[in-house]
Amino acid sequence: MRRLLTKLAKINETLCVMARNLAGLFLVAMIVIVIMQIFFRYVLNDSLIWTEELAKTLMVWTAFLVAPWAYRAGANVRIGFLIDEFPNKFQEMMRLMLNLLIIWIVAVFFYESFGFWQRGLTVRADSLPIQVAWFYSIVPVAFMLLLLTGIEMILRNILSLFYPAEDFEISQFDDLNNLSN
Amino acid sequence: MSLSYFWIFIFLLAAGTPVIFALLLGPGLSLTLDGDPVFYKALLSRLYNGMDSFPLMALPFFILAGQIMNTGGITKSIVHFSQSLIGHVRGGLAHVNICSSLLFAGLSGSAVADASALGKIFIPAMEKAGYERSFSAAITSASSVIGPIIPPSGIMILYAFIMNVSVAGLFAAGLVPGLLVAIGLILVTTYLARKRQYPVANRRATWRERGSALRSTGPALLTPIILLGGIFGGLFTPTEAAAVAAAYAILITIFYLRSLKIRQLLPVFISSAVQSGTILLLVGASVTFAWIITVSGLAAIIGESMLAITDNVLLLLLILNIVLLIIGMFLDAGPAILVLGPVLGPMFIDLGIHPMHFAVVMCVNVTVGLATPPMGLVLFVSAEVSKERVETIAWQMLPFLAIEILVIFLITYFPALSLALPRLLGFV
Repeated sequence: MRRLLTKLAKINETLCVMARNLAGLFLVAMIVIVIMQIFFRYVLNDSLIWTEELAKTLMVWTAFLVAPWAYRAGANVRIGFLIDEFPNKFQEMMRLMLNLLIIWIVAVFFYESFGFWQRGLTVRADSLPIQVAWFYSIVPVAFMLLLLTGIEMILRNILSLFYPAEDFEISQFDDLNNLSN
Repeated sequence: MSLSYFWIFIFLLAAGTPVIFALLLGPGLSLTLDGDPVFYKALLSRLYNGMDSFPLMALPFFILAGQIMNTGGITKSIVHFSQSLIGHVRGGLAHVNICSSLLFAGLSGSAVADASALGKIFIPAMEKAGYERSFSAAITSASSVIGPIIPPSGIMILYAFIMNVSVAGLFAAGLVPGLLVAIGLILVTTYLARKRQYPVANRRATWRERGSALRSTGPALLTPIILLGGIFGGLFTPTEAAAVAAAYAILITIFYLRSLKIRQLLPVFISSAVQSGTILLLVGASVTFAWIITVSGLAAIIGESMLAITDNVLLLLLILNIVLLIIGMFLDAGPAILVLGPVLGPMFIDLGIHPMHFAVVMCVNVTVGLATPPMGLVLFVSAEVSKERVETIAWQMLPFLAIEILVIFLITYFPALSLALPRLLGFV
């Protein structure tokens, strides 16, 4: 089980960081697109029609791309003060239970995302010559990654019930924390 | 559909589930228990479409602009400039702290970011100058509340989006309340500085020194003028203005101040994307949740039970303020707005409160909640920066908090304070 965890953790870390960094680039792309929109409207007097839709889609992608990394790094907002008062063992059991619930809902959405994608095949984008399914394609990818991350978290939870918990905390693998805080 | 989702949601929150998953699991579990799994399809498409909005895009852009200004040392230059203006009065650094928060508020839209950026500069500096560390942390927390009230404001973008009011109008409506908070804090500080004999740190700066401080911070201080001028003048949408602000921040830090190198930008982009992405997903999940609240009739039930207590609008507003303050103590401002806006808004608007007025009351209230003991997020940030205990800071916060609560009541019962400016500019 430990070996499985090490392998899965390696895969997840690589994929999550890649997705997160891609989101950073998308943010830049969004700015460039919106600035172009202003430039074309005021300077060239020629409004671009596709900018809003493309920028919006990039933004939704950013959110989905960041989600697995945020889940893994524990960067999501939560209310911790109640549960943090309980004994450690209880907290670990609770975390295991919550992560089981989380991968259940993630699995449900992962399953639904294929139907969602398929329905997108019948709808054309407003301003670009493609089907919206291509916009939607991030959804199954993101839920797949969330599912993998969730499994890793659960492995960590189970192992830390039997062995010292410090061994299974996600190490601060990240260079950004220094910058963002 | 039953209301079990709401109790599941509350339970999951209390158990420490990340808010995003609690928002999805509440309805998700409850649909399964009720045997309505067909709804999952609708949940997923609402999650996606809930984020798919151009006005919402102002949020990631403002987050990026704020982070660039922080890493690029613009915060420092603002502090320097404020100090040259008012550093010579009694309790100078405390006033400089408030003044910097006010100027910084025009660039950034987040109280937590303000508290951490300004706290790192002020808390050590004030302690060296002879203030108690807990007081320094308290004034930093109290003044960072101005950030999301003065435009641009992250929570106002969220509110405008989920409740469908104009972002530009809401920005205009926040200006006067934000200034009121600043004035209130300055009055309290003046009183405390006299009573406690806080130090006079600096001699008065000469106009030449002020001019040179202005030169390095001037381009940054132009940002709010470009932003608000552009938005209120109808040149840009708030989203476009936010993109301009971010691009402008990049340009001045790299070419004018030369405080950032191009390769240093990438980590800033990524951490802004992380911060925006997590909030956006929360927005999508909240849209889903808000939809379930409407479908299940919970909003109506809450409305009726509040109306059963009293139908006096003034009294209901009082109850609203108390409830919001309490919730703000425990929940971050963004999620509080996203979840409670759709629950409470319609009821008060039905009672004849102007939607924009209600919006300002709600936004100011949850923001002040961020600095309220015991659980305010801003308080934790300044506790972390100052290495001082939250309780000690909380004690020092009380006079500032009192004045902020007073401002909340002022804007609650005098709608003109928030509505006059947007009316003048033609947004309402």
